[in-house]
Amino acid sequence: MSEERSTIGRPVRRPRRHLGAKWLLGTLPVLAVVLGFASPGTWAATVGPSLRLAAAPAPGNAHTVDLVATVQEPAGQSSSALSGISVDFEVHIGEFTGAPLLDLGSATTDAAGRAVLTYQPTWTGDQSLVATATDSSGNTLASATTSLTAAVATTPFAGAIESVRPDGTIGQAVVGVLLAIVVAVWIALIAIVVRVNLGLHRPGVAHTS
Amino acid sequence: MSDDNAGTETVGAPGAGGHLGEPHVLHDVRAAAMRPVVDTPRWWWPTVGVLAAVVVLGVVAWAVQVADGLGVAGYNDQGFWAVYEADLVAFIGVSYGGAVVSAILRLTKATWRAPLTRIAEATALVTLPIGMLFIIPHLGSPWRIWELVWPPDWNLSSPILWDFFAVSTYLLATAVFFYLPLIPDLAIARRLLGEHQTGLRARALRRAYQVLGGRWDGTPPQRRLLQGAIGLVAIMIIPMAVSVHSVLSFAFASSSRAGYAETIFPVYFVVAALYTGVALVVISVAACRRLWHLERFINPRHFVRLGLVMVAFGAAYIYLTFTEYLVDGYSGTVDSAAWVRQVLVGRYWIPFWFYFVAAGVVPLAIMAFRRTRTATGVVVASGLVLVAMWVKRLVIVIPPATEPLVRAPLASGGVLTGNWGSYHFTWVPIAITVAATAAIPLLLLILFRFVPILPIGEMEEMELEVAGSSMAVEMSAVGAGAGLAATLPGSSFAVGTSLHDITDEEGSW
Repeated sequence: MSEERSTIGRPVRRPRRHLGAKWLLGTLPVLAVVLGFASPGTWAATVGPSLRLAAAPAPGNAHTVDLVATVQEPAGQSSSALSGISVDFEVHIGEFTGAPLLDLGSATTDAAGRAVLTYQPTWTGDQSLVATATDSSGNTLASATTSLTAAVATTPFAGAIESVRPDGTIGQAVVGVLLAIVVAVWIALIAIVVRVNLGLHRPGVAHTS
Repeated sequence: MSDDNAGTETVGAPGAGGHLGEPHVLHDVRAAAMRPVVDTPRWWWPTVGVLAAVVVLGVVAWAVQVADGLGVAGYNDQGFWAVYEADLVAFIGVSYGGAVVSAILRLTKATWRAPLTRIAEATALVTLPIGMLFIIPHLGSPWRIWELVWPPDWNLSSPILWDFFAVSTYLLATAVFFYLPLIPDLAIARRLLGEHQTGLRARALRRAYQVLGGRWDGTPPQRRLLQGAIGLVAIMIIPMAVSVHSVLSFAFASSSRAGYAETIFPVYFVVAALYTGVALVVISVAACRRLWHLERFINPRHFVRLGLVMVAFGAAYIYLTFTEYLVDGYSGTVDSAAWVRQVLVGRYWIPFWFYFVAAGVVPLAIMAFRRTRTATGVVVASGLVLVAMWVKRLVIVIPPATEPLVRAPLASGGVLTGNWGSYHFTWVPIAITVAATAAIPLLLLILFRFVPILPIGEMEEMELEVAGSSMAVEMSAVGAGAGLAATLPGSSFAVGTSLHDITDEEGSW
């Protein structure tokens, strides 16, 4: 574990939309409805600090890796500006094509511009990782990518996760009653149709001309 | 769509040119009802072609999803329920309106219902199977669907399985409810085709009408038998619709997820289904009226009355929405409060408030003012309701799914609380949804190539009853079956031909 405290699971601050864009969405309801479900994307920084991302096995734990993101200021900037920058770590989910990045957590840079997150892969194989440095307003400063191959996957949880399941007895009873009602309704409906059709052919009911 | 005479026209009667009880109008009913069957307008094939192409595009999109996985539809670990579940609920919901409204109007013997019932019941019939099909893309792997109902992997305790049984039962009931009132019309249509049409298609249709219509001759015992059966199915279909859409809500309500586990959902879903169902009936009736020139039988006051029924359900739905969010937000439990906040003022505020305005405020406002309470106004309101209520279904499905509920102690220390997920629209679910929408008019166009678009027997019988009772009142010396064909001075009703006159006119009715 790095000395930088990992904040795995903390909601990641996203860059805010411009007021103008929000106004535009409000005036185009249908488009806005669709866009309203999409999470805002990240904006690539074109100026400012750069970022390097590396993955290295965590010391003392074969199942984890340290993701080290290093912020580097452009030449001429004071090094004191490197500390306190929030870096978000994400991983591509290969299982779902086109799916968004999965948040791993975030860490804050130290005086050397290093932000470290201990990552415990929960599935094996090639994984593509992304680190994004953001300022205090949530704006993206820089991003970087790296990849790793996880040979071992472990559950991240300390204990078994309990799942509350429906009471099997209640479920069976409900299903039994429901199925009985369904069968009765089917029989009734079919009987109605058959009765009408038979009635149309019955002497005294059908026209005999 | 003019509604200039909305305030003066007799509901259920032709707008101009005489009352339905008059012989030439009776003939017009038959001609209008059979027009889609015997005539092929110039627009028919191009329209069917375009709609079919849209449906094919949807099938292609589904094939892409089958090949590449649910991820191409924007699904992910946290956005695990989204468009298809909303489509499933929305399409099955709209099917209820047609059948239930028709059933209620039949049971209450509302005389103005007659020109609407066939279109309403047909809309229900074609929409329900489309809605049922959404379970296939929703489940992802079609080759595993049989495992839902087949041992050893079946799960009888799964609400999805209950949905399957409930909806398939309702489909049977809807089909029966469509078929029974059709029996007299099939006999009439068979004779009309015999008079006017020759050729292979006409012969095939006559044969089909013979098989499906049986030996209907319109004798009083046959009428009593059929009316009794229709009444029984109408009684059955109302509680069935309520129960079926309640069961549909169980897939949400019986879960433990905040935002889904709502005890109000069964009622909420039923009211939403009726609300959108009436809206779709309005759209279907308006389209059929325009395309097949049924203005003489379906007048603006039909739309206004349907609009009033619709906003009654709409007002109830708005109240239930208020109740749901008030209770969840007021209780202040962490999961519920977080979800309610995201919907009302958070990331989902745009779709929610769009729903509230378009499906709540605007339709109520349209029906509240005499100036906008017109056929056009009702159609506009219905279109808004259909779109906005689909969006509302998305608001029901997606926000609770994306809410992180896992709080687990991590082996590395700390607690995993999770982040809000998100769902991204892609072209695949949009194409499938648009295809399903296009399938509704496509199937209606095809269906009405084979069955009369108006309930001929029902309209004639109803109007003759009205005309006969009017004559009995105003000409007490003359029996109702006297066969007079004159308009009584000063009366809004014409003296119509009797049932026996029609029998004579048509040979055997």
